[in-house]
Formats: sequence, C-alpha cells, structure tokens
Amino acid sequence: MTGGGVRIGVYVCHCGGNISDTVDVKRVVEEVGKEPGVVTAVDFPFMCSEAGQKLVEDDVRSGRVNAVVVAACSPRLHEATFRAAISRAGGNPYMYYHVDIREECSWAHEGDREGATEKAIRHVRMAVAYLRRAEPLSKIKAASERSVLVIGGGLAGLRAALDLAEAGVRVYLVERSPFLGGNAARLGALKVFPYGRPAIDIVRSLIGKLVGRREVTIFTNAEVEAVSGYIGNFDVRIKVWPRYFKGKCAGDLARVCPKRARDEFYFGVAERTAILLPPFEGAYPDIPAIDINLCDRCGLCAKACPSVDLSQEPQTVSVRVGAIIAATGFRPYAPRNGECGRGLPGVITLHELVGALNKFGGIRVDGRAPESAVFIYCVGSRQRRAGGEGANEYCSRYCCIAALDAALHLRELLPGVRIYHVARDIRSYGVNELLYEAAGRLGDVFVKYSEEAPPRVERQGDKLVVRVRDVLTESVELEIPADLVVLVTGMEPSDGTAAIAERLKLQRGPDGFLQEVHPKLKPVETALGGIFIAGTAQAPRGVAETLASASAAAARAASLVLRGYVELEPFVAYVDASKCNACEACISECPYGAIEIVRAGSREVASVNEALCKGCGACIPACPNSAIQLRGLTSAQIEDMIRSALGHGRSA
Amino acid sequence: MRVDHRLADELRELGARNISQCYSCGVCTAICPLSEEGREIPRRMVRYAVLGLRDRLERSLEPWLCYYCGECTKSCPRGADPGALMMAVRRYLITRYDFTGISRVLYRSPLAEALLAAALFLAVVLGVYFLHGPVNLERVDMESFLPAGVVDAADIAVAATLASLLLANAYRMYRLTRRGPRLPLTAYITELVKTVPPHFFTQLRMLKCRGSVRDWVMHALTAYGYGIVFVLVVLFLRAIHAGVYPAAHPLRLAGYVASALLLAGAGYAIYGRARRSSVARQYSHPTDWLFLILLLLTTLTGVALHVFKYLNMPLEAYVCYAVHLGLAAPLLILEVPFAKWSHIAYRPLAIYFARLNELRARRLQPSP
Repeated sequence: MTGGGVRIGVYVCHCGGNISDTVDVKRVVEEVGKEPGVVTAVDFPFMCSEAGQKLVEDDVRSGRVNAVVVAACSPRLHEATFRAAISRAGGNPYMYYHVDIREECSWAHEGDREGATEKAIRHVRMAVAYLRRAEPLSKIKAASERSVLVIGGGLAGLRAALDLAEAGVRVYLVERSPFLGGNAARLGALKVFPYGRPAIDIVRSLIGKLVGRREVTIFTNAEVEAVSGYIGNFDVRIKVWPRYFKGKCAGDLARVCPKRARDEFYFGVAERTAILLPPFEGAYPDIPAIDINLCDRCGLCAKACPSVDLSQEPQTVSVRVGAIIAATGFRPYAPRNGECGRGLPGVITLHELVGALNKFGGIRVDGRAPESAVFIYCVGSRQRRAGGEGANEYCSRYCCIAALDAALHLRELLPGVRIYHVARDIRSYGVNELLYEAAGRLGDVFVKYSEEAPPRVERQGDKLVVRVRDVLTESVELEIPADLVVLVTGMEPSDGTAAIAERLKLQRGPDGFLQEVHPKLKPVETALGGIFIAGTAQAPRGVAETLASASAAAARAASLVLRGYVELEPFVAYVDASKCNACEACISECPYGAIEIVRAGSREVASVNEALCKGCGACIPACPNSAIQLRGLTSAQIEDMIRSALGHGRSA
Repeated sequence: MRVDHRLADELRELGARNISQCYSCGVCTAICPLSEEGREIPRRMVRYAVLGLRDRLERSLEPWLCYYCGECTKSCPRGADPGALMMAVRRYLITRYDFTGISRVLYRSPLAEALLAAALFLAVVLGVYFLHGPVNLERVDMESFLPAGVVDAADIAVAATLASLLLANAYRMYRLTRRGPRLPLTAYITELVKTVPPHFFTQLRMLKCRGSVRDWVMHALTAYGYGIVFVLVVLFLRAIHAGVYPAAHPLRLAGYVASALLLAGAGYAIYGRARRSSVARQYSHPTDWLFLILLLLTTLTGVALHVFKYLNMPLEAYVCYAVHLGLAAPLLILEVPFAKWSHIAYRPLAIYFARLNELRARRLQPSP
C-alpha cells in the first residue's frame, strides 16, 4: 500500500487549552488539510478522551482513513493509546504517527503563537510525509524455549526457580559456590523479622521443595560462561567446576586438611580448611567440595576417604532457555582499615556479629561477654562522593532493620547489656517500626550523628570509646564507653553480580547494581529482552523484599516463556536481496550480531535475524548499496520528512 | 562528655518509666506552653536523661520552670511521658542539691523514709510523754501541759535548722546552675525582689499551663492555709494555749479558715492521686504520699485538738496534742529541706536564678 492507497486522517488536540491557547489549532487543521494524501483533518478538545478516540476509530472502521496522525502531547503519554484505538477499529497500528505539539510547541514557545503554530504545521506535515510511504507492519513472532536459566542459588534464585518449576517451566539453576543458600543461609539461626522465623528455615524449606523436582536442574560450583541468542532463545554455556568428591565421607574429614582460610559461611569469624563440608543441615548438595585454590593436593584427604577424587576435570554444559533471571546477590560492604575503628579489637561488622552468633551462639570480647555495645549505622552507605572517589551514595535499606534485629537478639542473649545506636537516621519503615519501638522500650539509646561529623572509635585502656556529636543534644560530643562496636555495614553488588553484568552486557546503575528498565513500569526487566533481575543483585533489600522481587521476576519470565513464542516490535532492519552483494560491511557494524550471510539461490546475501535486531539502524549508513533498510523508518521516509519540514514536500 | 547509663535507671525509679521510648521528635517542646527560646523543655532534658549527662542535667533550671500541665505527655506519639520525666528530674535535683545525703535516702528507699518518719514521730510523742508539765484533768490547760514558751523554743530551733538546711541546699542549687560572669550587686537585689516574692505569694507562673486554673486555686488555698497556720503558731501560740474564745473570735475564725483550706487542698490532692485524675497525678512517688498524708493527718489532729479543747476533754486533748506535734515533726523536718516541700524555695529561686543567667548571657553578648 503506497502512494495513492494511503488515506490519512489528521486529528489535532487542544488538550483543554494546553495546546490551543498557544497553537492556532484551526490553522493547523486548515493547512495540513491541503496536504496530498490527507482525507480528513479535524481538531478536538481532548483527543485522548473516549470521544476523541472514537473519532479515529469511526474513520478507520468506515474505511475513510487507513493512516492516522494525532497531533497532541508527547508520544510517551498516548502513542500506545491511539495505536490501540486503530487496532480496535480493524486498522494497522503501525500506520500511525504521533506528533508532539504540546511539549515541543505550545509549552516550549508559550507567548509565540505565530512561531508555535508554524512549527506545529511543519511537524504534522512531516508526519504526513512519513505516512505517505508507510506500510502496514505486524509484530515479529519468534518461537520461545519453555525454560529459564536462574543465575544465583541464594534466596532470590531459589524462590524464582521454585516459582518457575511450580508453573511447569523447565529451570536451570546455576550457583557459583559449592552449596545453595547464598547470603540468607549465612544469617543462620537469626530470626528474620517479622514473624520470627530463622533465616535458615526459609532457605532450607526452599531447597527442600526445589531439590528433586523433575523440572529443575541444579548446577553448583558452576558458572555461566557465555550467553548468546535473544529473547525466547538463549544459548547458555555453563562451566561446572569439579567438587573432587564422588560422594559423602564418614567422620570429620575437614580436620584432616592442614590448610586454613577464613570461613566465608561465618563471615570470616571462624576458620575452615580446604575441604568445604555442607555448611548446614539440609544443605544442597550434601557432599563436600574442595576449595582447589587453597588445596595444595597433598593427598591427605584422599587417603582418609575413598570418595575424594582429585583427578576430576571441569565440565561444560550447554542449555537453551527462553529467559534468564539474574539473582547474583550482594556482598557486605568491607570497611577500610581505620574506618570507624575498623581494625581495633572489639570492632566488628554487623555481618561478623551474625557470623559469631551463629558459630559460637554468642559473642565474647577478650573472653568476656560485652557489657555495652555500640552500633554505628550507615557504614558504607549514604557516603558522599568526594573528588572522584568511589562511594556508596545509596541507602542500603536493610541495615537499620537488621541492626535493630541483631541488637534485640543480643539483648536476649545478654539481658543486662547496654546498647547504643549511633545512627544518621533510623529507617525502620513499615512493620519494622515495631523493632525500633521494642528497642526503645527495652532501654536502647539512640544517638544521631551528622554526615559531616562521623563517629570516631578509639581504644582507651581495655575499653573502646566511641566519640560522637549528638545532633539531638546540642551537638555535644558524647563519649560512649563500649566493649563491642558493631559497624552496621551496607550491601554492595557481589562479585558475581559484576561478573554477570559484564558477561550478559547488562546495564548497571551508578552504584554497580543491575539496573531495571524503569523502577515502576518495568521493575524486574533489564534493557535486554528476556533477561530479568531478582533480589539484591538489583538493589539492597531485605529478605521479604528479596522474595517478592524473585517471585515477580519468575512471574515475568514464566509469562514470557509459557506462551511458546515472543512478539517483537517490527522496527527491524531488512535486506533488499537484489541490491546486496554480501560485502559484510553491515555485519561488522551490528552491535547485536543480528546479521549473517546466507545463501539465496545462487548467490550470498546478508540476512537479518529479526529476533536479534534491536532496530538501532547502525547497519544502514554502512551499506554502500543502500540495500539494508529499517522497517517502519526507511531512508526514503526520512528524506521525505526532511523535505517536508523545509517546506518542499508538497508535491510528493 | 561521658554518657552514664545509670542515670536513666535512677530516673526510672523516680518516676520516668517510659522515657527510653522517646525518639526526639520534639512535639513535647513545641506544645509546651512554658517552653521558650533558650529554655526549651522538655525534650532537651529528656536527652540529658537518656544519655546520662548528669552535669548538664544538674546545671539546668528548666525542670523547675515546668509546672506539669501534662500537655507534653498527652501529645507524645511514643507514650514516653516527658511530663513524668520532668517530675522525676525535679526529684533527682532535690537529691542533688541536698548536701546531707538524707534526701537521696528518702527518695531511694521508701522503707527508710517510713522509718525516719516513724522515728521522728515517736521521738516527739515520747518527748512530750516524758517531759510534759502537770496534767490538769479538770479542764484543758495546754499552758501547764506544754508551755507555749517550750513549744515556741522548739519551733524556733526546728525552723532555724530547717531554714539553714534549705538555704544551704538552695545555695548549692545556685552554684550548680550559675552560668556566666558576675553581675553588679544591684542586679542581684532588684531581680530578687522582682521575681521571688511575686511567685512565692502567687505562683502565677503555674497559670501559664493550659487548663490549670483549678489546680492553681487548690494549690494557692493549701499554701495560704498553711501560711495562716504558720502565722498562728509562730505569733499566737501563747494566746491560743491560754484562752478560750467565742466562736467569732479572730483567732478561732482564722483557725477554721486555715483548717478548711488545708483539708480541702490536701484532700483534693490525695483524691486526685488516688484516682490518677490527671497526667500529673498518674504516678506518685512514696515521698508524695508521705507529704500529703502527713499534711492531712496533722491538720486533722489539729482540728481534733480544737474540738477536744472546746468540749473540755482534757486527756484526749493532751494526747491529741502530742500526736499532732508528732506528725508535724516529720512533715516539716523531712519534707521541707529534703523532699517535696523544698519546692517552696526551689520554684521561686529557679525563676530568679534563670533571670540572673539571662542577664549574664546578655552581658556576654557583643554590644551592637
């Protein structure tokens, strides 16, 4: 349908007076009504209203019009509205051009009625020029795999994998460390507010439900090595590192090993050997693994247990999935030496406190139970970037609550303990306010410091002293004696999160966390179609929010893959085979690897994989023969539009 | 400034039971009708209390400038009860001003308080029992039973002791709360005249509290009731002992008025505290009860004494007199310098001292 076949209807909106107070809409209608191809041009107070949409629908339905221009607000607001109206009336939604004469004309040129009107006329003429060469388009359909790759076996990954499996989706769960559970498992016996259930219970129950399901394949000690393909059809290569164990072993095998390292499961407060035993009851898998970076292959363990097999090699597994969920989690902020007393005996991080409570069932400083504890908040959060230094400007969101929770836990263990919370603010939002209230009721003291005067921690004899100016008390410098100082550390993106962003080319925000497309409109989607984010890989958050975001990501992934096909916007490149001589210039320009050379009869030509193409247009200027064009925005259309904008396009 | 966690515990025992619930929103200070710039109450005092900044708290006159209307407590979103904290701080300050340490014992231990009161009661009753003069059972003859000269002498001795104790404590209060340079002598005198007598005789500052008119009236009645009794005892004891007067005699009338005022005042306070009728009466410290009960009993025995005298029941009158004096002794000796009654000095003096501090601060400011 080209040339004379296009019957264009132009509808100019007043937007109350938002447009018509500045733009002379009657003149716009009058001028563009003269354009060739325009069969009707009208103005209306509110085009987006039901009556306004009906104008378009009626004209399309009657066949009077088969291409539509609405000149109104920004296309971000209502382009979709009118495309839908055209579809409802049986027209092609891509025979449409949305002209912005509000933000770009009436608002931008308030007080210049003449100029704004002239600009509006030119914009509408450009749209008309565009539509004169427009063709009906339809969405591209591509088959989709009914399977999802979940990267990360922490709380978010487990929840997402389980949701998907329960929806009947095939799931591949890949965990980098030798055991499932992630950071949440390391919270161990600590109850997670609200509802007082130990964190490990939540993790354990997810693992229990997940393991053994037909739809689920779990890879631990494994990494996603490479991902190619596109939404609905990703090819994934997974590297599975050897555990060096064929099965379980009797006895305390870990003791045999002479090597020592900090035990990450307890946030480094305890030691481990190179033999990593399942860290908790109900861990998966229940066979040990060897930390081969620490191991020097002395062979002592192999002598003690026949299940040890140091000859195992890494394996590579390839799977094809329709969608990917990145649930690669966080790592606790590690304070610099000297930051708030870091390095002094008795100064630990919140995570280390958690580790100690889990490992030893309590906390002792110099062999004694602490009589007083000071929690210093916002360590590694809400920092100010100074002189190009890296800084975590964000609020880590979970830490106020976690610190209050830990403080209450500490008080349960040590009823007489005196607890001071040295905080910038207490952000115990929502139901967590109850924690703050409980802490106050039990006599915890809250001190507020300002960003300019962070607390200082010093050693005085056998005691620590926290010096801080209390904003709430005339900024007087307080001297708080303490046996234990807990640095309430925030979250940073984990190494796995950084690595997966690199490998999948996912966007990261200024803070390094994976970035969603839009916090409200597409909260779990990445800019790459078919790849979703769950949990703390996206932003710092607590257990409940992590679980919710994981379920959200799982639901989005499931709704994508369960349909069996994906629909893509039709604005992609296409090759005119008759003009192409397979010079490959376009291939090297394409950032998405969407173009390849194929045989077409006797000759070779370039061909675009429509599912991979994002319609960026990089290939088009590269082609010496103008053989490659963008569907829905051809060079001819663009040229016409430019001519028309300059006032030369009337005779097309 | 070193924090001291024990202070909050001490104040909790003195009545500030919920203060750790405070999250420093400042609503209490915004709503307080007596809070003024530079003397913000009660939030600042709450912070001193919670953090245990004893020095800061002891240097503060603000607790005495609060008259416990309870607006802060009513508007506190956390139920931290800042009004009770201010009251507890006043109790705490009384113990800090007192150099003898007796005050601390009274406030810390209700048992010690009761024992001391009982001991004083017994000492006086036994003293009367062993030392009284001839007992005339024909008619009531106070003068021979216990000559006014003896009672007056005892009165003067007790009054002198109590006054010097109270003044010594008041001087400690002055030393603790003084801020800034010396002022010219005239300033001390003029400000003293301008602040202390007006408040001493009217307690008008109390009326700045919202809805406090009835409390102020009752407080004034009690104060004036006591004032009349004080004048009668100090100036007219001999006449009262010696004579029998017609009902309309000024001495009898004065006695009736004073008794009525004291009974009404003490009764009102006791009834309110028992019923917890207002914010200020939610929590009563043992010292509050002892004060009110002794005041009521002393008044009642005074009334009974009068009745026995005019019904000519000598033995009853003598016994009643002994008991009356026995009750008055702990009421005055314990409460005036060491406990609740000391506010008779601290309240007006705080206004005076605060004014002096204000003048000092002004002198410290650079001249324009």
